[in-house]
Amino acid sequence: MNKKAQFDVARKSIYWMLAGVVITMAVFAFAIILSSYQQKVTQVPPQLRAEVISLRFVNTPECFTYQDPVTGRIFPGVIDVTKFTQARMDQCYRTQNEQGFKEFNFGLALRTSASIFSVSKHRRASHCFTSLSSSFLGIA
Amino acid sequence: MNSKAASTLMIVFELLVVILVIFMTLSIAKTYASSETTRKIILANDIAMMINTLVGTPGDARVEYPSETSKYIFILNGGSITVFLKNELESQRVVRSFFLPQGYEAYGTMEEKAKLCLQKEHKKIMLVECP
Repeated sequence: MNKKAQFDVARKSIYWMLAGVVITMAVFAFAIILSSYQQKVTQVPPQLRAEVISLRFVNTPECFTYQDPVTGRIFPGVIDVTKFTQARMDQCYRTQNEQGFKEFNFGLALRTSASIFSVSKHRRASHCFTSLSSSFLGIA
Repeated sequence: MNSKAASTLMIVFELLVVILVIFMTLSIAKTYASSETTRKIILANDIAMMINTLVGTPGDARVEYPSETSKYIFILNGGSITVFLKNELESQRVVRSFFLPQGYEAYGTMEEKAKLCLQKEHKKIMLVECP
């Protein structure tokens, strides 16, 4: 092999080493772009998910909703203050102990004319305050 | 090795690299952008949200999924829904979890049926074929 041919092979080898790095990066970038596009297409807004999950707190008698003990009629949107306990919250929204931090951490406060009762997931808070009215649901 | 042989070898190598890159790019594109994968994720998300909605609905109810589901297999088991195609690897299955209140059950399987329904009876949520 003459000098020119040797130089040609060496030059191409260096070129392909650099091109290899660039091509690998381009393929990875392409994969990341496609993956993020797929995530964007299939993403559910977290507010919607939270809204759908939180329906159970005000509509399900197994959670906090008032149910007439005689007729069995359920009153959606009406909270039974005697059910509004941390234990009930833990039964109603049972996330996994190990992986639960990845899920919504609901904090609920029920304001009556005399007091505020609150329950939450994971924070283990159960407080009683005084003098406020109306009720609200909150997501922590 | 003479210069012609070296040059031919280099051309063969370049062609192989180009073919490899095209193949990798196409296979990545097929894996990620496949409409089936996206569709499975959307189906699993929708069913998980439908179950959460049924849990938050007083009384019994039946909901029909408003789309064709005949290509897919569904397994509703306790706290998760799995969606996959027939003869698909386990790694390609899409799983979404949800949390049921104590006393609630969710179960049912459906294999390549056109219409999917979720039915709530008392504290049971069942995945059934629509009548």
